Amino acid sequence: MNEFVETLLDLKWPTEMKRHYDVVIIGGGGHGLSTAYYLATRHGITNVAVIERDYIGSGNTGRNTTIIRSNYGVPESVRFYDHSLRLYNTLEAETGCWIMHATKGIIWLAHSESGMRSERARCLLNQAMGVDTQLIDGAEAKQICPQLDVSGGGRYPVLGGSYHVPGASARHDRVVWALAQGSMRLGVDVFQHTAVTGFEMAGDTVVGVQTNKGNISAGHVVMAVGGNVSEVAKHARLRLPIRTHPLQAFVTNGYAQGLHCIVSSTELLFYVSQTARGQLLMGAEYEAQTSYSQQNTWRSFQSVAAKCRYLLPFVNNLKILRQWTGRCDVSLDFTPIIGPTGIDNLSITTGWGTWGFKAIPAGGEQLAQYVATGVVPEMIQPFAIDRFRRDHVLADQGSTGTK
Amino acid sequence: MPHVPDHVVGDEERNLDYVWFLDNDADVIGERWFHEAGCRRWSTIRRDTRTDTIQT
Repeated sequence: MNEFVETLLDLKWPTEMKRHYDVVIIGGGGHGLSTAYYLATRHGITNVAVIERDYIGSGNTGRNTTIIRSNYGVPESVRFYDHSLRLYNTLEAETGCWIMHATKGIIWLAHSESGMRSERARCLLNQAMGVDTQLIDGAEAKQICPQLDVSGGGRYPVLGGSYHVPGASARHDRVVWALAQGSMRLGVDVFQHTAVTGFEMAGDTVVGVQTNKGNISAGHVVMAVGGNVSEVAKHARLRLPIRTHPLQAFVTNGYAQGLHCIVSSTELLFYVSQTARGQLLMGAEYEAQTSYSQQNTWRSFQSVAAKCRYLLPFVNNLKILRQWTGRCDVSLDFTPIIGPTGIDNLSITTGWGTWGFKAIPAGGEQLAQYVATGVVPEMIQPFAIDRFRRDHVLADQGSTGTK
Repeated sequence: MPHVPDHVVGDEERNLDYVWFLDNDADVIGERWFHEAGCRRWSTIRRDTRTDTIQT
């Protein structure tokens, strides 16, 4: 057992729910726990409860493909995700927990002239914002990833793409535990298997949360729900610009060679990285219909495997070991929604769409700052929910890595 | 079909709500589906979004 796992055993799970908390966070995933962590460590607010319907990290935080990147297509997002990527770089040192963070680099491949134009635009924007994303041609892609078939099986030739040098990955459940441990050491109460059944309202103000284990009075409530946010928001008569779609992913058996970088194709729509165990972790586009179902489909395996074979022929010899489905709350402009909701004492972090793993540290940090000070930090002002009413949407579907 | 709740008032507010804000129900919903690979006809289907089962 390494040191980190041993320290985990010291976690002090609360037994009793207090009647009042200064902040109640709904959702014990990455964003909920990160918000608690930054409230406790940066603002000294420790009378905080995190309530989770299942076990912590059981939702989308445990179902994503753990890629950390900032190669976005609108300046507001590039700045935000770059900040998050930098916070991830120092998260191990800060929490003292080994989250298996590794900077690997990501290549986004293009197979057409229009795809190359998109990647050229992405590189120019990223470089202007100080993010190291470089335009590469097919030969350079082959140098970065020797296993790549640049002829694309004769069907999807690699014309080039963008190389996002600081792209990284980390172990998802370790990120959850690191943040939970950091928060709980400072006195945050994390309640698992506790589901929200309603809000207590005084007029237009939220004053508490009703759960299946009793009611809690709260100074401020944060909805950090993934995959079910519209249903939770309905308790406060709030409708959201969110659609929920299933997104599937799977891992193969171990691959003895190293696939050292993360490979993705924006036109074929799949992404693959290698886990610390040597397995290849793959995902692709979400299901077209909205659904809360978490079933896996044969069609998805077939489609992802077929796409991956065009570019990485060695996967022919691998088998699918495990598969799972998460529920993505996708905002209508594919950019997150974070900040106040328009209902007093109720804030929200959602719309992480095709999974907000990469945004966990920055999302929590910025939302904690809002909750603590009452002032929306400049970095997340563009992600306010009222952008839809002001006609200031941040349409950036091309950067989600899926569709 | 999309609908705007009664508590949203004012023409502009109701228009914005209609365009951007959704119920996104985890429940049985009515949908129009197009049978592209078969008879190429539209039909109305009631689907439970929690299980993807079709109600008759």
